[in-house]
Amino acid sequence: MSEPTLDLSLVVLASNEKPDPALFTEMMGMWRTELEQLGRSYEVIVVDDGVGEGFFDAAQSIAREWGAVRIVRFRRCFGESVALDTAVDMARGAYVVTSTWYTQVDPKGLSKVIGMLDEGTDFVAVRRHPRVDGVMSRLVSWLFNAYTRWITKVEIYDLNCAFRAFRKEVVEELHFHGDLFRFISVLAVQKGFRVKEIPMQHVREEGPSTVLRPGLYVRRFLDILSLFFLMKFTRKPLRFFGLVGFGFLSVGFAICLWMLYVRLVIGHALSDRPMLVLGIFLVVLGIIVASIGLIGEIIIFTQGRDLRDYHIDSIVEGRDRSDEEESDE
Amino acid sequence: MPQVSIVIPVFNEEPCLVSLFETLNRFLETFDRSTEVVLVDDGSTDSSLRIMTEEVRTRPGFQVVALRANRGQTSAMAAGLDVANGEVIVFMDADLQNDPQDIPRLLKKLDEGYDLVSGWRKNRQDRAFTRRLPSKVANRVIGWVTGVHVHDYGCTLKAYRASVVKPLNLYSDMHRFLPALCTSAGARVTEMVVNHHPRTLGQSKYGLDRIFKVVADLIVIKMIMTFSDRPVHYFGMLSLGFLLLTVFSAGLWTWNLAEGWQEGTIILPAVIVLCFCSFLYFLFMGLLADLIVRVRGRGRSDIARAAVTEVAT
Repeated sequence: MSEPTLDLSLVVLASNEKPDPALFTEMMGMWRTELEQLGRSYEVIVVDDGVGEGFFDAAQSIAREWGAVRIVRFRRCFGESVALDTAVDMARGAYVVTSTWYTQVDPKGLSKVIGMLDEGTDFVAVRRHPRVDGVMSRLVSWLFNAYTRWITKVEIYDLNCAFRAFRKEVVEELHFHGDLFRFISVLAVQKGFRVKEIPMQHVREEGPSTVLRPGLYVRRFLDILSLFFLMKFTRKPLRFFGLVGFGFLSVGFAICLWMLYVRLVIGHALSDRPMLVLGIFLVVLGIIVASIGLIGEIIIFTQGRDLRDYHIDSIVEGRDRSDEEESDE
Repeated sequence: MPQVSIVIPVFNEEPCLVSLFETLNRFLETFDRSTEVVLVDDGSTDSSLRIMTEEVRTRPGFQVVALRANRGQTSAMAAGLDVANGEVIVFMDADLQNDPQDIPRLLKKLDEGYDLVSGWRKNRQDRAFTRRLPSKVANRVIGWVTGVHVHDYGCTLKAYRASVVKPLNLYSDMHRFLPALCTSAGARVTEMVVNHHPRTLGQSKYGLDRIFKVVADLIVIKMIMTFSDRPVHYFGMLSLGFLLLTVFSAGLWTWNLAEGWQEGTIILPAVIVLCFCSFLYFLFMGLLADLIVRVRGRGRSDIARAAVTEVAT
């Protein structure tokens, strides 16, 4: 991870959909005006996550006349986590600003966001407010965000806005895979970074008609479950699996004892008692779940050296009197 | 940086080596691209290493990489890959069954925009029952499972764009599945018929014990290709399937009780409990798998690294 040589890297991600080259070119024009006005050194990284020829051609023709533009292209679509991770690796700016390929919020917000980073905020998330899209997608979005807030206890109101600004080192310390890129602001809060969410006027309807299939909701649900688990128990998997496993084990054990009592003391036959099956299965499940926790602990113990859950904000060193006198001279 | 690296794994090929060098020389004299040849000695127990070292001394552009012990073809290929610097990597057998004269054709195909050109030994010169038949079946099965249809996965003679194959982590017997792995990195794969000569010198190191290994590796590859990066989705989907089954059989059971039938009293509860336990089991497995991916730390999988194609500046 090299030292940043520029002030700012703008990362434009195109992933999972068919971008409209005209919209993209228009947005890049707006960014260009904004970036030039800002008066800082910058670069633009366009990530083509295997979205097709039209987009790449448009990006190339922009790069030809705008020297600050670099393009990364994937052979096929790998999702936004991989795209973002690659772009942050490449970024040479001290600050990184991300955007989708179409205008979600007005790029004019850039100077405000940069100002906040200057003042010491580590991560600026943007909340699209007021929003201009349909009632249905607003409802789904609200449910998703409320559910995440409830599970994670992090007060972020719009996880899906791709306009984000952060210091490069913030994202270098976050770990996200699969669909967890959505939650990077939450992850940043959890790491102890100073995260602020600011409202910005929503400009355009979300992309070209995103079709939400039921499978997608299930996936989102699983993502949040996994996020919750990783946030709370990454460093202590047995706390989670052990508790759940022990719960099953004790219930199963209690049922088996009761069955034993029924058989030996009361003297009923057990051959048609489904309860016995339940008891035995719960005991087995309890043992297996607890062992999963043990395997987790082994993985963390052997591999988890780099998984720090703390972040050193600053180190203040006491200075010797004599040093001070020397420097005074 | 040479344009082409020819990587040749060698294991106990003493009888072939002299003619291998002759063949290579004859080929390199007429070949018009800058080339390096990387010979990987996979811990041979005969004098292969000594012969190669002597031969290489007088030939610029040749290297011998010696492994400390025998680790198998995949490891030898991986070691060669570590050392090779070419923009294109061509793997080849040392036993002279492949013909280097095919290489220019493979490269021409790569120039058309492909990332991997697989050799296809259409007229294979090996024993039919122990070699050709199992191989044919294996190729069919691999193609069917991975969705990448190449006639001859087992043919070593293949040309790869270095940017695709270098980031991949080769271990176990994964060399057989390289076309499939490359495809999941988004590579464009094609194949072409190559020459195949009968083995005249030395002996084959393959036996029928490959069959089980291939089946096991195939399961691994399928898993890696489909969900190595987001395991919780797939284990989670599997577990939710069991949850649905649980709900369904619970409904059936209630109906059964209401109607007063006898058959369902023990069987259905057992099914319910089994499905419910499977549901939780797979859900937790998914979380454990996610934990492992998380422990990898910040970073992308090898497959994603292999998929970055161009950085235009």
